[in-house]
Amino acid sequence: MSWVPVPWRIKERRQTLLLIPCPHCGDRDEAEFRYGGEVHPHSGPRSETPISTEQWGERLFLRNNSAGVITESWFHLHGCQRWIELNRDTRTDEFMGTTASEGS
Amino acid sequence: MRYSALSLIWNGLSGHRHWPRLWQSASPKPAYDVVIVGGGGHGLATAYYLATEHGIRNIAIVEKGWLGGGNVARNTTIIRSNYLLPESSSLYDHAVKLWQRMASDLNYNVMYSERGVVNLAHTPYDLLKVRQRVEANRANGVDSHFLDIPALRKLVPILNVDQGLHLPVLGASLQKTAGIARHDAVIWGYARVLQELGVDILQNCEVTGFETSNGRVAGVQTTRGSIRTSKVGIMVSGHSSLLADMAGFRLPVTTVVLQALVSEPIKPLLDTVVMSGALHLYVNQSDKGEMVFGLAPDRYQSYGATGSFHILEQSVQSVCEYFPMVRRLRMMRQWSGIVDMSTDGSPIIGKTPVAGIYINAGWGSGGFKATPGAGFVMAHTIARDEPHPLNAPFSLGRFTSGRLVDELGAGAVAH
Repeated sequence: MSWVPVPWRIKERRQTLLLIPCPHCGDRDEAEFRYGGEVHPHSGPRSETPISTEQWGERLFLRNNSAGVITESWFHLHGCQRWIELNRDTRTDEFMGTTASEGS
Repeated sequence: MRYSALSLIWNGLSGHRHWPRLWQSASPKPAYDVVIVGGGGHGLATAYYLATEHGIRNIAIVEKGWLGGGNVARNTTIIRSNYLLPESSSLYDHAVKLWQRMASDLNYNVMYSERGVVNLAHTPYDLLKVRQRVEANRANGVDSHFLDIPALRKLVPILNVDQGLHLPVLGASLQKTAGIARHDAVIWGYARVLQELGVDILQNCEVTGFETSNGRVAGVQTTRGSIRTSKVGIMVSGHSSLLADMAGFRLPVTTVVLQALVSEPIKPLLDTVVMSGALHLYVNQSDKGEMVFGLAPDRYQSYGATGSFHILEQSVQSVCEYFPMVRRLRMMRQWSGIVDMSTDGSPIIGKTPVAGIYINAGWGSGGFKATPGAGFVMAHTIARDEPHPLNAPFSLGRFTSGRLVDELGAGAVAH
């Protein structure tokens, strides 16, 4: 039996519950969101210039998958129902502040 | 030394003081024929087949932590080959055949237990897919059977098949040749044989970069100095993209956290493996008696290796619903690992844009079952500079040509 009081032990543990800072609703539980993945420079409006097969392959399938701060989109399904963009460190799962929200 | 009944008796009588060490930690030499990045199951198996099948023994296995400290120690040890697509089922079934003789090949008991794997169907559509997969497996020569509710009750008495549940169990598939193995023993068995074959295992040696000349790999830089080599095999699961980035190319994978937990040990209760794709739950009982639960992967990319609490909560709810008998068990340990999910749900095994660098990645949550098979085809690819027929469909080039092996869409099989 350990005599260490419970709050001490909890303090030592890493946070396993992801609280997502929705710019519209505040910190909300991860379970309310759907993940939209990393925001790539090309995920904006489609350009008119035709692209090659290789570029299509890259756009559709290749991922940066970097270990560090990334910008990603989340959909607050069980909340404000808006797409939001957030910065998160993929090594620690810490959110680093909002960049922009795309509206509803 | 060769393990046998005689060696056991002799060492038993002499107080178990004379067993030789399984492997020694080596120091890096300036150059090797092949450098394998990642001292997990796939890395060791590749070195084993390079040495035994292709006569290449001047190999270094470079591991950033300790041997077998990565995903090979974190999986739920399930081995099966009942994949839908012919390319996948032949790749995984070849691995199952190698599992069957691994203990005698390595002269080491890897506790491979052919106890069968049951895949549950919970909706009429699930049921249709399970029946389709059973037929597809049979057509591809993989052992597969359909189980109705009475057969399932007989095989897995502790499973709750109450039809009043939200997602009742409607039927299942069974692969009798599937099973589990002792994951640590796999690493120890390979390391011991590799030691005898003269392969250097370099622990606490992290790769920090690659040296290239004229588009060919010339060496690797590590935290223990640089090593010259003309061939590098990368097999580092969740960290694949980071190594690819060092070499200057991108991969079609996303790293996510996958978690598992085990209960306190109990008497024999479950003598097969039960999986449910719909619930993202895999259950088996280890030889120690612990109930082992494999849970769903997290929904977002992360290198954090902790695991979402709500995934844990949902999975434990499923356990309580479908295995009510284990409700009051205490859970002893929960852990997680990071896995690289490929964009079509199939692994990437083959050449890369850098000549001399070969990649074995994208196994997602299902790499352990392929350990000997992945090693076999990787060794062939590295030694001959061309893929084995089994891994030819799994090239990196398929993401440009469009010839995907789309287990994610077509197979609808959880790993």
